Amino acid sequence: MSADLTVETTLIRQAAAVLDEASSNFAAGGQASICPLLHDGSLGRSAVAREVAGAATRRVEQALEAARLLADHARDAAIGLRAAAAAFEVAESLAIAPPR
Amino acid sequence: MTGNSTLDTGLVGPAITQAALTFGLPDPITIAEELLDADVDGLREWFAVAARTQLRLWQGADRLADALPLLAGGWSSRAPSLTVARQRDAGLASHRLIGSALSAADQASAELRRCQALADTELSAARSALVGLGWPPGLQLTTWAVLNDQVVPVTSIVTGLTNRLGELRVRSTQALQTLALALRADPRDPVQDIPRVGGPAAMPAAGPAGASSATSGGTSIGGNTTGGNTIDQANLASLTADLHSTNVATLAMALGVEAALERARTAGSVAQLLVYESAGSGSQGRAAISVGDITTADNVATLAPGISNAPVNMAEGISTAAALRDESERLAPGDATAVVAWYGYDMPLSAIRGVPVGPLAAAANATAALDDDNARVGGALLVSDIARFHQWAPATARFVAIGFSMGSTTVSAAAAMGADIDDLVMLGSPGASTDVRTAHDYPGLSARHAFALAYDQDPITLGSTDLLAGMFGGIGRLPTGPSPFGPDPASRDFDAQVIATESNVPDVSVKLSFGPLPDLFGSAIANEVLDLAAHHQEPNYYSGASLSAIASVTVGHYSDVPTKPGR
Repeated sequence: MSADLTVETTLIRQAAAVLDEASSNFAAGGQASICPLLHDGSLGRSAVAREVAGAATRRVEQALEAARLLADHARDAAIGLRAAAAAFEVAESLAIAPPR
Repeated sequence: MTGNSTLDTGLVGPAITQAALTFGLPDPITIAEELLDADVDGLREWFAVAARTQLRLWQGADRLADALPLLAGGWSSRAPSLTVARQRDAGLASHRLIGSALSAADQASAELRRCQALADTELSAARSALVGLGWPPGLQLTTWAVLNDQVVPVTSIVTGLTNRLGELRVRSTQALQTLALALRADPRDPVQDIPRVGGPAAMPAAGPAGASSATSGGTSIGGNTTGGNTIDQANLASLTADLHSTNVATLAMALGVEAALERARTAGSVAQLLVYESAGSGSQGRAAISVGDITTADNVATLAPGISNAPVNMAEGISTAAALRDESERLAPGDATAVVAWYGYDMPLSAIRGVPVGPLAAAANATAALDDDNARVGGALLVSDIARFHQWAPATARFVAIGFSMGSTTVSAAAAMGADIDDLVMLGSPGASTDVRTAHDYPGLSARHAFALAYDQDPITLGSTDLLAGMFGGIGRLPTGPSPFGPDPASRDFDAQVIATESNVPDVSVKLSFGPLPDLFGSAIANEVLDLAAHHQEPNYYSGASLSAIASVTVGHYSDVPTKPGR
């Protein structure tokens, strides 16, 4: 099955630039220094206090990792969009060339 | 202690403690210290770091949203927009999860601060009231009260202080419990579900050729994308070679490990052969199989079995590992848990399970059950194996070492040698190895992270030798002096967290009859043997409430682990 495809490469490139900005935002979120903010016993000796100290440290590390992963996704998508725009432009230039 | 002047006076605190203990009350000063020691500033700093990341997630998601109308106008295919929208949604979902934790942390911080302020006020008020009675802080409070007919008001003041501080501790605990629940969600979960864009080649391939998709499926993201297929390639190759071995011991082990791998896969899990060392005529070999993908695991539990096991029969250990993994993932649905069945030490009495070794080796293997030598050698091996597991697992993964019977001695020995673990669990333990005296002797592991579970009916845990306790437990301890397996980890002196769950099998007892002759020791010995057979079984420790408690430790839900004082 085929479908008509309409593209505007200028807009695709603009979208790619916005994705780059998104990637930068995510990357900044993933760059916080992880020092031991809470250690075992920070919040008391009870089981729940130890659970919170351990989980809080782990979850903030995981949040940073989530931000880094999203940065990678957005960056990859931007690269893909630019490559697609370039390919569309090549295809368009070929399509309007006069027949030999 | 932070930010408290009342207790620093030096004289009042000990006097109140002494009075409370004399009156049979909990020590209010200990309660106050617990409240005042909580590092609320540390929690606020954590809040600040998490909040910065949360803000960036929102900003990033917001920019992704800005790209959507551009894509809709620039590309008639919906696929690129859907890809970006999915990333935006993941960012927002992650943002929301962190937001819930931040909100709970904010409330918990405020409540902890309130409780600290109120505790300080209560202490000051009690001190003023006692001094107001005419008590000079240099004198012992209760003695002064008796001599000056002030017992009733002093009792009232100390009791009131204890009660009010107890209430504050309850409030503080409740605030932390709410925060603990909010922290049980992994902010990476929404992100791990989104497919990777296939790279620069994907979109152009989808464009001019007329196809409508701008993305490719790709592999899952996060951690080691090689999954379980490469980390154990060398071990699998060795296993394959051993399956053609003409050495009966080598072949028997290979067949056992192959069966274990098959069982792990059949359970619907990724199975990874993390350790594989061939058996020979003088060795039972070493093997470790992960049930679940260690490369993406949030929690990694390593299980060490007890005597009379060997890689030949490790399929049985896979059932235990699968049960613990299922329970862990039931308790923490957002976390991935890998459970490693570790048959990595020279387990005594393995010949019982059909390990084909020579008579001399079999004899040495049997006598090894009489002390902790094999466990300590195995502990060193476990230290290095766990270090290798860490290299494969995500950096944030929690590691727990769990051992049953002599396996508990082995994991304890590993902890004593500095194994890189977050928690240690000793089940049905004959002793914590002669390398430690108490739970405070583990380098890098707090005593609060050492757990012990010993059923009262389990004779192996009574301190006699692993091999003979069942036969002689009924007539008292063997005359061997200190246990050859080290201290009882479930004892009060050891000071571990003692798990409070009951045996999952009913008690069975017999009374032997010898006609008119008195039954001196026969019934006692028979009952000890029955207890050994019934209660000291690995499945008995890995089932019911005990399994839930072990799984709670595995996923770090300490507040769900029932504990009791040591025996």
